Amino acid sequence: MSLRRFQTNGAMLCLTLSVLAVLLATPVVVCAEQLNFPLAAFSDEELAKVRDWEKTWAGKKIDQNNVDQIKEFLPESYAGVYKKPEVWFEPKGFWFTIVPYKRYIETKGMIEATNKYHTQVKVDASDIIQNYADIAGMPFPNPDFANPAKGGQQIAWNYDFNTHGDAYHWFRTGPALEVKQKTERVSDSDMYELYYVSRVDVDPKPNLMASNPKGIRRGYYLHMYKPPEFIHTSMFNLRYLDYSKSDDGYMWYSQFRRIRRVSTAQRTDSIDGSDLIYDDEYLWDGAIPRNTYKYIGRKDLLCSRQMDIKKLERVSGQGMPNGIIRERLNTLVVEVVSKDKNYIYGKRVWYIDPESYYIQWTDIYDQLGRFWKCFENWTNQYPEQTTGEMKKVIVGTEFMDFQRIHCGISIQECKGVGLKEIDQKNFTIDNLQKGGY
Amino acid sequence: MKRKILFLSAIILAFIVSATGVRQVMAEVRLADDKIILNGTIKQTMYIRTQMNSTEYKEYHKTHVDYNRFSALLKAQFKIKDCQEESINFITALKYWYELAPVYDPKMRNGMSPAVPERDRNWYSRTKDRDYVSEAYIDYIRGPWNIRFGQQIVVWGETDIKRTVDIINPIDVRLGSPGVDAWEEIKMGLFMLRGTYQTQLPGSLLLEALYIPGDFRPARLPVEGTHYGPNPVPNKDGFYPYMPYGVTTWLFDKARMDAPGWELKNYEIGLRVRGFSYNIDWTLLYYNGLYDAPIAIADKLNPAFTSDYILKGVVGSITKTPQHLTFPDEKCYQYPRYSMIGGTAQTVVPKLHDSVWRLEWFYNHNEPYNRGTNADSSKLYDTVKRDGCGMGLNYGDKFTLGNFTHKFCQDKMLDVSITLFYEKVFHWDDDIIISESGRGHRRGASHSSEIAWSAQQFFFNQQFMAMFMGSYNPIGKYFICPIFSYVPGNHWRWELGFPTYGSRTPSNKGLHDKDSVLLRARYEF
Repeated sequence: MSLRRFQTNGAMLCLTLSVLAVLLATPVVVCAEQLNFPLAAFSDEELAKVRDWEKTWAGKKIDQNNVDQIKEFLPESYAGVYKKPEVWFEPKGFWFTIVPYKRYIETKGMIEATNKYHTQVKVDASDIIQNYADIAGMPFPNPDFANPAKGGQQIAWNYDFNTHGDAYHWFRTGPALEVKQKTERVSDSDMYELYYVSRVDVDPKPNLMASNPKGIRRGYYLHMYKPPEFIHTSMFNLRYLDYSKSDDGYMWYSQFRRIRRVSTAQRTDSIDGSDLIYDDEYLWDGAIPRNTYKYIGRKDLLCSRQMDIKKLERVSGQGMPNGIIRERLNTLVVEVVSKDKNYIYGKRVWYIDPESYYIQWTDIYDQLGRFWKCFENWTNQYPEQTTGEMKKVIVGTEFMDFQRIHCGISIQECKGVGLKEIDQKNFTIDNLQKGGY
Repeated sequence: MKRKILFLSAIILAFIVSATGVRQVMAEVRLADDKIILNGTIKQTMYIRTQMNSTEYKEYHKTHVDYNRFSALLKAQFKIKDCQEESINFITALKYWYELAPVYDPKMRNGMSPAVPERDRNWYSRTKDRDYVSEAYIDYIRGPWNIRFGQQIVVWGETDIKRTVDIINPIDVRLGSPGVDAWEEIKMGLFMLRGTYQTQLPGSLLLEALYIPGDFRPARLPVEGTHYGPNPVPNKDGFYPYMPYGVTTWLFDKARMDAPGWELKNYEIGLRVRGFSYNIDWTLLYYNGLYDAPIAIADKLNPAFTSDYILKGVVGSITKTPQHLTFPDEKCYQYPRYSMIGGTAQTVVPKLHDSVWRLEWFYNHNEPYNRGTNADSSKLYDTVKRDGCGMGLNYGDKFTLGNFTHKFCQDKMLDVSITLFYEKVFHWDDDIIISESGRGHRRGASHSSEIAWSAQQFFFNQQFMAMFMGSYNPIGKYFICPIFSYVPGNHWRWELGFPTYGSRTPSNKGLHDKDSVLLRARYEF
């Protein structure tokens, strides 16, 4: 009897603790149940299979000799890079390591904003958001996967509303490589990004200013240290809420010592010897309504989501670093086609992390439909200065042009995410002039 | 001949070594926990004249390389205080150059009347005195304030090549020219107090004021017989064989001697307001200071020139003995005060292919001019002051050249810039001497106009660049310069250019016979 009572009490205790745990986690779990947000990359059943697969592969170094065995989880182009490194003039070969999948859960701020605003999203007949400045969080926490066009567009909007911790500072080292000659031209720059609207983590939320008469959506500032001809060249860029309005860009070009207004409308111009066009920043850096989208489905890929850039190994002139860490991820696949018939790319295919809405991989095709480029983002989590919560940010990117056998790398050291303050004066001419020597 | 081969071989060898052996290294040098930041450039520039009359070549040159300069620029930033509230920096830029042409070409420097006058050879061929310091100033930033105190170079213009409103610092064109060389090499720093204040007024008005407490430096003019200078006079002319240098050197040197030094009465002031309205970034500016170029005092210069130069020439011709030239003590040149109001504007016009438009305009008040009979500088008779105005309008755009930019340029667009210049002097009279000023006037013409352009295309992931720049003035004067550059990595830049000049106007010939091949190697760190 006493034993039974104990068992009963034990059961009651477990139940009480479980209820308590549920109650403590209410803001996250309850919402998650209501919205199915934040999304998990894998269902429990899928995750069990992944864990099973990881028993074989986690911790394994993948190189030329065994890449065939996991090639189904890499874009075909990259599997080829590992299989035939000599094409990229790296006879010693490339390697990376597989690590276990680790779920990423968005910040509380993002979850709360999504809960609060997702019902207030107003779209027109073309699914273009009409009240961009009034909402925050993921506008479509449960994309309509049954409708490929609508679902694709909704995923794209979610991507667009990831404000990267609202205020982000990183240091970029970006070599553009001539792999055949083993030479590289390195650009180093401090970069700052500040969101004026759709803020979820850093007060004031959701808008930085009570009044935003210019309709600024995002400010972006960079100060260059390399290459030497650009030393202390700096520029800022303001993006507007008006989808049709071009960014405003200003540059202090240190060699000419002048503040120049720069046209930002030529988004397909390639950037300083790299394989990137201006639209390729973050793997897409343009207005969402410029494209049509189509949700294709899900694809399991090895994605770099826990990348410690200090562990990358690379010698000068090497096309891709070794030591990239990748994990299995069930990505959302979206086909993206520009509405501009003369656009430089025929189409892009995005492979999106459903947990953070970063584009992990993108395949790019030319206007004739031939495969052209493949870019990969590496991400990792860093504690936000404001909340202390972990926020996922991009810590690097590999850009490979398979038609020209040319590539570039961006290694991004996180200097601070969710920053309490990035001075809005960074995005002023006064600041360019003050910093100009 | 052996020397020539050796020299060219060394250049070619240096090219091959650096082009094939380039590896990544740090760009700038940081010392003392980043409190000291150093960067700079080392450069070797060579002009091989492809157009030189045979008489000049035989008399004054052993090689067609009449310009071969080594130069270096070192910039340093010393962070004295760097915190959120305020920062204090000491900024300095040091430069050095050495012109090798008169060193390896004895015919440029030897003889009684050499191509490059002995008295100016050291002055022009290497850094002297204050030339070493391009800039040295304290930079203080606190809140909306930015104060800079010390020797500085200020850039106020928006258009390239021509200095429409960019007039604060005098230029040194002994060995370089705007557009081809960096501002630190062309402009001479002046000691000044300069401050900016960011207001909260509508249009984000940024106020700027500068005060130069009498630190006057006249423009440095090219030296006779050098690449950018007037051609040396043929010795077969009976007047010159016994003179150590030509007329230009005597006049330029006298002008330099007469330049006022540092005196408070030579103060210069500048005010500028920068704002943004109706999608236009604009500036309005005011300047009051001394004219950088010398203006002759006719009644002093004419007799002095006759007695100290012409008569010496005559004596030399008669006696067949070398002459020693002298200069009078009294001033024959002045640098009068004048003022200017002007402005700039720039905007992006979405309806015109998202092109960038820049405008620069000025109105000069009391700008000084000399007058000579029929605008002939050898018949000088007095000095006048006139008002004048001018503008430069620049259009900048980018284009895709179909499959060409895709295939060879990795989708880097063609960058095009076209600028129109116009200026007019009011209350004109035909005796005003202006055609030799380099401002593009025909003799006796109150106005001038010019079109300048550049088209720049990068190839092969920006390792190669082709640029076609030039200008055309309706008086028949033109400048064309295709430039090709190769940038193999982070630090080296190799350039090959073909500057070509021409003029159909005898009174405004410029560098009409200085067509050259330009070779330049640059190391940036």
